[in-house]
Formats: sequence, C-alpha cells, structure tokens
Amino acid sequence: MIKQRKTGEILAVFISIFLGLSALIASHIWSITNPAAANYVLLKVGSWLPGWWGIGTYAGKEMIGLIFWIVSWIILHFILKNIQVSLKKWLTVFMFSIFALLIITWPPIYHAIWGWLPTKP
Amino acid sequence: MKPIFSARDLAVTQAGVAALLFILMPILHWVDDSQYKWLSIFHGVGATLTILVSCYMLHLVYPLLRGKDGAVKRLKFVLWLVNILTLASIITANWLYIGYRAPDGARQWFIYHHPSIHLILMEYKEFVALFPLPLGIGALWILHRFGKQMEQTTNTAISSVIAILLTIMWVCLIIGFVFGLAMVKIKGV
Repeated sequence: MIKQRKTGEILAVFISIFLGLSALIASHIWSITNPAAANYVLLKVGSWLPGWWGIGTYAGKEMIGLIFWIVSWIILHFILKNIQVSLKKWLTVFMFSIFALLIITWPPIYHAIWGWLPTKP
Repeated sequence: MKPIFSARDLAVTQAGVAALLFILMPILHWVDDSQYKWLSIFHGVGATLTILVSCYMLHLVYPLLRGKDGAVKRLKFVLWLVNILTLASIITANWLYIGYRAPDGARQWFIYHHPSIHLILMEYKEFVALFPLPLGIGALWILHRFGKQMEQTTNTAISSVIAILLTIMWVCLIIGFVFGLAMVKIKGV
C-alpha cells in the first residue's frame, strides 16, 4: 500500500514559488523607486556571489528571491503537509497570481505606476 | 500496406535536423571578435538546448495527462535534464551579464542607440528567465513525492498541477529565449 500524501504539500510548493518570485520583483521595483537605499542593501546581499562587482544589484535581487523561495518552502512544507486542500481552487489562484506577476514585471507597467527616474539611464 | 518509413522515424528525423540547426545558431557566433565571445556561445548553446529539451518535456506531459504507464518516470528524467540546463543557463547568463554591463558594453550601446531595448526587453527578460527554475524544481518535487500515487490511481488533479507548472515554465523559458535572440540580433555582448 502506497503512502497517501496530503495535497497541502503541493500548496506549499505554490505559495513558496509565488513568494520567491514576488520578492524578486518587489526588490527590483524597490531599486527603481528608491535606488539610494535599495541598491546599498542589494549590493551587500549579493556580494558573496562570484562576479557580483560586475553583476551589480541584480545579484542581490536574485539572492532575495532565492532566500524567500527556499526558506518559505521549508517552513510551509512542514506546516501544510498534514492538511488536505482543494487542488482545483489553489491551482486557479496560483495561475492567476503568476500571470499577474508576469504583467507587473513588464517595465512600462511598473514605470507607469512608480515613475521613470530622470537620472537613471 | 506498410509505409516505407514509420511516422516516428520521420518525426525523429525532423526534430533532430531542427535541433542541430538551432544549436548551430549560437555556435556560429565564434566569428565574433568580442572579448566575451566564448561566454556568449556557452550561454547561447545552453539556452538553445534548454528550449529544445523543454519542448520534448512538454510533449511528455500529454501521456501523463492520459494516465499512460511509465509516463511519470520518463517525465521525471527529462525534467531533471531541463532543470539542470536551466540552472546552467542562469549561471552563464549571470557571468555574461558582467560583459553586458561592462563599460563600452552592449548595455551602453543600447542605452545610446535604442534605449527601449535595454529598458524594456532586457529588464523584462532578466527577471522572467528566472521564473522557470522554481517552477521546474517545484514540479519535480511533486513528481517525486506523488509519483507512485499518480501511477496507482489516475489522479488527474495532480497531473493537471504538473501540466500547468510545466506550461508556465515553458512560456517563461521561451520569453527569455526569444528576447535574448532579438537582442543579440541587434547587438551581441
């Protein structure tokens, strides 16, 4: 008899992917809206990555996304693994949240909301 | 009467020729005289291979949705490959990005000549191209944990989850690939 696992595990996968990617995009938008404060933190966070001096703030954004994804996944996995959830409902929610992320990541859209910095190339 | 060549032979031949010619595209960049030539070839070959293998992977989702025997195992193996290739492409992309941002590099050229190529295409591509990694690893984890369950009972809900994760993954991969191709066509790193 095969062990029947609970679908909460799958929900943990969904939420952690969404959190990781949201953190990635949020850190990017942060560096657009407040580069002075954000770039200092982002460079510092990314500074252990080989070549960070050439990659710039992008290294920090990647690290923030990676940390949010992995840490939230581990935590959520143990919280949610014993509950059964509706996959149909959560799959729909997940699909729309990823589409929303893909739309907000399109530069003309976030610049329309948060503005273009005249000093930034 | 039996046909002279089977449909499978023809399909495999077509896919093989297409794959070979696609791989040639980045390799032909060896005639470039850029300092980052070999790195861009690595990244180009990595990205092209990722797209080719991910197309095959997406086709393996159909037998999974139909509940065919052995579909989980085959998809798992190819998904492993795609995840490794995606990671390799991200690593070479970060490496090449140093050259892209370098003084007198492609970024400066774009900002001077066609700012929107950097400000819109590149800024979008560099983030969307990271999406496939968590989506692919998430799908692989679900296949690993629920694989046996999926083979025993025809659990179509979990198959649909895998299908959606991998379809979004493939869409993000192709966005990164096409935007990258469009940019290198105008100005290589």
